[in-house]
Order: sequence, then C-alpha cells, then structure tokens
Amino acid sequence: MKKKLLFLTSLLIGMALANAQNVITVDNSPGSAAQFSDLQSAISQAQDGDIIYIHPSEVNYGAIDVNKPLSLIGFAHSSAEKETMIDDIFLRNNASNTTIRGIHVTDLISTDGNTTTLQNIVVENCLIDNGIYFEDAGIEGLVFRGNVVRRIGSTTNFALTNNYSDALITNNIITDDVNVKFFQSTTVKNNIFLGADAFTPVFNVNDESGNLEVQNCIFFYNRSSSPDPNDPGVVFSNCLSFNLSSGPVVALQGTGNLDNIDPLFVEDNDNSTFQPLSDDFQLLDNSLAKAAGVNGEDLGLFDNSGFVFNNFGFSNGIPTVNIQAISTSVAPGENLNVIINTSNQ
Amino acid sequence: MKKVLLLCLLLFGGWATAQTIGAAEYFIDGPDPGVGNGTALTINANSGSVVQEFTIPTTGLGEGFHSLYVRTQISGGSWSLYDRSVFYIAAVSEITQNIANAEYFFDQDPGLGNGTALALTGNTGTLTQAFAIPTTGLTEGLHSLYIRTQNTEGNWSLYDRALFYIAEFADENSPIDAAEYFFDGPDPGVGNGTALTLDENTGALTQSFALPTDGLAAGSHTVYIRVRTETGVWSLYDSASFTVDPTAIDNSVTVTDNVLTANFEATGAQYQWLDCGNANTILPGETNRSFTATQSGRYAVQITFNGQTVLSNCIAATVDNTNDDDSDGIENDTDNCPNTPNPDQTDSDNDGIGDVCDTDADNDGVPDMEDLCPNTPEGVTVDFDGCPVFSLPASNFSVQTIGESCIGNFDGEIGITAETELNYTATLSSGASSESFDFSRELIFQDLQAGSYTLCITVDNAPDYEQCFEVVITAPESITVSSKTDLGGKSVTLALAGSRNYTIQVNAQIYQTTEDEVTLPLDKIENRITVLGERGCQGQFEQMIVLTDQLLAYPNPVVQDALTVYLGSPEEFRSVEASIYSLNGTLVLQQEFAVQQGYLQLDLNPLPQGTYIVSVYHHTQLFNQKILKR
Repeated sequence: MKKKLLFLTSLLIGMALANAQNVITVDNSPGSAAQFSDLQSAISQAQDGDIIYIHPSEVNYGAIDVNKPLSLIGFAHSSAEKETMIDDIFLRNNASNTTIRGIHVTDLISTDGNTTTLQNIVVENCLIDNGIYFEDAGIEGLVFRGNVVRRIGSTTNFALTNNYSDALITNNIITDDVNVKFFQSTTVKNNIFLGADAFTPVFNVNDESGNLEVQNCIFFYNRSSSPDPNDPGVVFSNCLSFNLSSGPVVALQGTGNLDNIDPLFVEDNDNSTFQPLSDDFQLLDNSLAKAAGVNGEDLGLFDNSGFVFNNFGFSNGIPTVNIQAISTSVAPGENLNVIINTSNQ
Repeated sequence: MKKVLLLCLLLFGGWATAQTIGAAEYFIDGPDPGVGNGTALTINANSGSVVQEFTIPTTGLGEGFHSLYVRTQISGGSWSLYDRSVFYIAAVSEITQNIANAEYFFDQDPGLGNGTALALTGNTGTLTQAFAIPTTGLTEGLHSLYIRTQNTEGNWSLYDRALFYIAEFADENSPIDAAEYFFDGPDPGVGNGTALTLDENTGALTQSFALPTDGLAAGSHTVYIRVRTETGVWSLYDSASFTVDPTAIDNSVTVTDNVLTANFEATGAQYQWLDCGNANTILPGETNRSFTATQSGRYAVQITFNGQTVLSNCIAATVDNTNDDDSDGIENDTDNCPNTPNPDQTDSDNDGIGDVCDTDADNDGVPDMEDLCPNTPEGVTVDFDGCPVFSLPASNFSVQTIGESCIGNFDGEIGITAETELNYTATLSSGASSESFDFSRELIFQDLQAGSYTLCITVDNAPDYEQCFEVVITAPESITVSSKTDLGGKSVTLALAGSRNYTIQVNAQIYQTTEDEVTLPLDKIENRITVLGERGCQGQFEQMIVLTDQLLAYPNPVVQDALTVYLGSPEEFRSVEASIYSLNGTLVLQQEFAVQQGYLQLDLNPLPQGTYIVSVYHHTQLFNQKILKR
C-alpha cells in the first residue's frame, strides 16, 4: 500500500476494501438473481464489516436502518443507463465505521435518535437530494467527499442538528448550505457551492468562539441580485466567487480570494444547476482558479489530491462492467455470444 | 541578559540658597550600608536642584521584587534621607528569538518534547515551511496530525491539529484480471461464478465471449457478469436477458478468403459486422449479409430478426496484401497514402495526398515539421518558415508607355496605375541613372527618351516585396507610302505604314485616316498627293498622279524641279531618247532616259530661264511640248 501525507494540506486519497470482507449482493429489480432482493434484509443478515453491493434498479430501495459497520456500495447516482436509489439512510447506534458510496439518496442521511456517537463514517460519490443531518449523538469522524448534496447539517435547531466533528468536507457540489458546529475540527475545502444559498452558504453555529476557515471553494451563482456568502464566524481563504447573472457577489471576507471571476469550467457556464450528463466542472487551462489554492492546488472539485470527482457517482475504486451486446436468442446448447466492456474508471 | 535599571531623579540641595548637590549614592534592597557607603552616582553641575537620569546595573539580582534606595549630599554637607522605589525583575522573552524546534505526533499526545522532531529552516521568530511526513504504520481511516514548536528559550507552543484520511489510492490503470458469470441465479456470491478468461488490459477492456448454454431449458434466461480488479475488488454485476429457442437464428458464418457471409438469410434480417480485433467496434456501413474484409483479422456479425438478436463467433479472415503495402484495402496505385493505412482515403484539401500522410497540410510548399504556420490559407505566399508574407496579385499594377514623339524630343512617358491603394515607391532605372517617386494610386514618369527601362515598385512596411517591369520607350518610325492608281476609276489606293494616323492631301482636299490602306478619288488630270504621319518628324510622302493616256510633261512652267514626262502608260519601262531645243532650234540637251512606270525626269536646272521645246521620241512617234523655265 502506497502512503503519503502532505502537511499544510489535508490530502484525501482513495480507499479500498479489505479482501476479508464478505460481499453480499442485493437487487430489487424484477426477476433479479441477487442474494437478496430486500436491502434491509441483507443488512440484517450481514456481519460487521461486510460489503453490500446494491445493484441499480428502477425501484427505490426505500428507507433503511444501518445498525452495524457496513459498506453500502451502489452502482452510480446519475449514470445515463441506471442508478441505485435509496430514499433514507438512518445511521443507528453501532453503525460506526460505515461507508456509503455510489448511491442516489432521494431524501436524507440521518443520525436521528442515536444515543451513541458514531465513529468514522465515510460518504462519497453520492447524490443526496435533501441532505445529511447529525441529530442527537451525531458523528465524530466523517469523510464526506465527491458528493452532490443539497445541505450538510441544518439551520433549524442548529445547535442540536449539527453534532459532527473531526470532519473532512471536500470535493463536493453543495447546492444549498453547510452548517458547522465544531469548526475547529471541520475542514471545508475544494467544494463548489453551485447555485447555493445566496446569503449563508456556510454557517458557523459557534461563530462567537472563533472562525471557520473555508478553503479553495468556488461560489457559483446565477442570481439577479447580489449574493453575499459572508457570515459571522466564517472566513474564506483562496476561494472564488462568480455570478452568471447581473449582480456582483459581495467580496469574500478573508485572504487570497478571487471575487467575481468566472472560474471558466469546461462546461457549465450556462447555468448554476447540476446536470450530470453535460456538466464538466474541470477548469479550462486559462482559468484563474488554476493553482490558486492555499497550497497551490486548483480551486473547486479537482485538486489533484488523488480523489477524483465524477459526475455520475460511480463508486470510487469499484470497477464497472456492461454487457455491450448479446444474442437475445440462442438455440438449445448453442453458445451464448456476449460482448462486455469493463472499466476500472 | 544585561540587566540595568533606568532611574530618573529629582534632587534638591535644600532650602539654603546657593547650596549645590555635590554627591549621590544608591543601594538595592539593604540592609542600608550607611550614609556615604552606597554606590556613588555622578551628579551633573547644578545650583541646588537637579533632574538627572541614571542607568543602574542590576546584575546579580534574582527574579522578583527589589527596592532601590537613593540619597544625595549637599556639597560638603549633609546627606538627605533616602528615597525608595520598588521594582520587579523578570526574564523578558525576545520576540525575535528563533523557532528552534518542532515536533509532530499522530492522534495521541506523547507529551512535550516526546513527539517526532521536524527539521526547521533558519528563521527569526516567524516561519512557514512545508514537510513531507511519513504515515507508515497508520491504519486506514481518519487521523489527526498534531504539530507544535519550541523557541530558543525552550518554551513550547500549544499544538495545532489537522485531520487527514488514509486509504489506498484508487488506481484506474489497475488491470481487471478476473471475470465470472452465472445464469439466472440465485447469485452464487462473488468469486463463485463461472470464470472467464480476460485479455491483458490496463483497467479498461472490451471483449467478446461465447458462453456455453448446455443444460439451459428452452425459454427466457438471464446472464449475469461481473469483473474483479487486480486488487481484488469486484464490480457490481451487469445482466442481460436471452431466450433459448429451438427456432433461434443461425449465427454461423461462412468465410471464403476475405469474404464473410452470415448463413442466416431472411427478408427483413438486419446485419451489423463487428471488428473483434478492435474492441468489437462496429464497422460503419457494414450492414449487409456479406462483408469483405480489407484487412486480415477476426470479425463477427450481429443479426437481428423478428425481435431476436444473435451474435456470431469471431471468425478469422485473411486479406491478400501483395499490392497493398499498408494493408488498408486500397491498392497501391490508387491509394493516396500507399504506405499509411487510410481505408477512408480522406483528403480534406483535395491535393491528392491523404490526410494521414499529408506532410504539408496547408499546401504552402513548406513541410509541416518545418512549418511555423501550418494552417496558412490556400494561395497565400509564404516565406521559408511557411508563414504568410506580403504580396499583391500580379495584376495589381498596370504599366503603360507612351513612346517618344520624335527622336531626340525626350517626351516619352511611363504611366503606372495600382489597383490596391497603398504607399508605393516606384524606381525607374536606365543604365546607371535612376529616379524614384512615391505614389498611392497613379504615377507618370515624364520626359523620357526612347530606350529600355527597368521599373521596380516597392511597398512601405513590406521590405521583402518588390515587383519589377521591363519597359521600352519607342521612337517613332518614318512613314512609308505606296500608291496604286486606277486610271479608269480615277482613284488612287495608298498603302500606309509607320504612323498611327495619317493626314492625306489630294490637291486641295484633306483627309484624316488611321487605316493602313485607303482609296481616294482623283479629280484632276494632274493630282498632287501629299501624306504626313502623326508627327512631322515621321517624314512626308508626295506624288503627282497624272490621269491621261497621252504624253505629258509637267510642271509647266518649271522652276527648280525636274521636268517629269509621262509617257501615257504606267506600264512603260523602256528607255527613251529625249531632246531639248531652244526656240531658235538649237539643240540644248539630248540624252537616253530610263523610264519607270511611264515616267522619266529631265533636270532643267543647268538651263537658263527661257522657253524651250522638249522632244521625246517614243513608239515611233515624236512628241514635242513647249516648256517655260523660270
């Protein structure tokens, strides 16, 4: 295993699965042959540390409770062909060390009702329509990267719904806001706030006790008024702001920021909404956001940290296979000719 | 550290006038050594009152509170009571002292000075430095890095903390080294399907398989396939449905040399040929039942009929490439890139050389490898680097000459007209002499003599451009005229040369013509014709035409001219004898004269003025005419 750490930056690297873990297959599409068709049943039968492959389906897997350390692996959240959908994921007591990847969460992820603080939760390559919330005992140790999410934490009862610490929030597209309570142990870096909250995209619950530093992020708006991302207790370092529409973005409070500069995405200079099949949030070579980060890295999603954002939400490190062509009909005993294409992404 | 105490004292010599402060002393803490036994201070000159600052060393004093006692003495007199001031001695940390040490630890604090040391660069109390810190031994997951520093006085900072996440890099180039499939289910679990053998790859692969269906009953089935990376990570499976059908489409293929033919034939059947050797890519346009391979390889056909689709095995086909060096299916003599495969023969610039082997894409004559401007538009003049240079079309300049009017007149002209208006300079050279003029549209060189000239034109800001012309100023020719008389028609036809236009006078009538032949009427017996060219210096033609068939001598009277005798026919060329007599019969002249076209001429200049008889003997006839000489 190759390991490397760069000080002064938080280096995010990909992850792999331990070979010793069992892989359980779940598929609720009609006529499927997976080991389980019901996800909750698969979770119930799984052992601590097992990996559950949740195959794509037209049918939403619904709301699930995770009460043991598991890896939930979906196919993708926005692939043109197919996606894995789960409505709600409730991380219950004993769900520490759970990983969630490649899933379209059509509602939310939550720790509601827990009495035990969860440790080491990884959420990546997911599309979360509503948000991820940290009620009650919350989470200590969170990696949240490569996701497209409306909201991280909540502004409602914010002192009670943002109980997360030791958190890395990186390489995400955030369409509304991030709410932070324990700002000293939370890193918010290299995200794109895409058409996010015009006035409080980042909220520091404990603004009276110090500042949350937001690094290398891009605030990309399409509003007719002048957005103001500034808020008490939040400072921006080497961030960029831009409004496609008429009103300029109020200058970011902090140092090294690029105010009202078009980031020059490869694609999505037409609006500020996430369109996975057409958008490309990589930076053009002449973008001023190139190498403009706190440690000379690019701003936005692609910081060359080793983790690579993908629009479709393919699970990082999991290969994909597609049956490209097949004989739909064969004579008895005749070979079935198929063509597959497979990629390690 | 040097320790001193700064002290500012206000000293008085007492109320007696004119008494000065003569001495002062101090001691620190005590006990009081007694007046006059303290440490002396030097007092400035004064008149009984003085304010003075002293620097008092505190060497040897420990940290903590101390008291300073000071007293003064009137010159030669009494000591004052001491004054006392409390001061505090403590070490002062200098803000410019270096950051001397640093240490780090992961996750759990081992205590000050017990972390792993970091080597620092030189500094003066402020430092920004990057480190590469090994993480060997750390497990996968979230970790915290703590770092603190120590100054030269030995004081440690509080630590700072940063989160990081350790996990194995996802390597997209990691080979996919295993695949498996199963039919229908239930899923036997990853690693428990039927293994497939994969081609070598670097993380991406398209491959075809022929999966045996032995034992599958007639009806609908599903095949599930998944793959595994070299690191042991399985993909999610993909699935596809198929039918085992006793009436299934025949997917076999017959191959003859390089021609492959699907054995299944039915109206409405659709065929699509695939290149198995190139990731099973679709061969565009190859949708017929038969396919002629242009390159040796392995090919398959996908047949769709009545909602069923079958895929054949990959079949090898061999192509004879003896006259196709690049094996692209195009024979050498018609291949626009005979040594580079390009079956589509694409030739975007229509220069006869295929795009894939066209080394001069912009056809400017400079090979692409040397062409600094490889996309120069067609027809643009370029330099040796293949980049456009300034040029004008050859037709940009119109040069006209006007010849000299007469030799020696120096009135020839050369006119230049430019189609494109620019700042030009025209230089006209002849031999060693030359002259230059600037112009933008039109220019005329004047007062030129006949001869050859070199005219060169340059353009401002285009140092490499010059267009030259060889120009000739001509001198006018002498006119030449020949005439032919029609006695019956009483007209004369003149053949004219040497001028662009002519002025012809016949007796009193004047004609202008630009023709090189003209016929004019003759209205008298004796007709004087004069022809002049365009310019007077081109000479003059004169002729007397006599319209008679009788002998005739003229002019009469004769002054200085020769006397012309017309013998009555222009066909007459024989010589005749002519005599001249005075009126008294004396023979003055007798001579044989040559006759040209019926004319002979007698020179009467030697004769004195008077009247004479001209006698010509012709054709046995004697002709006499009286002539007056003036």
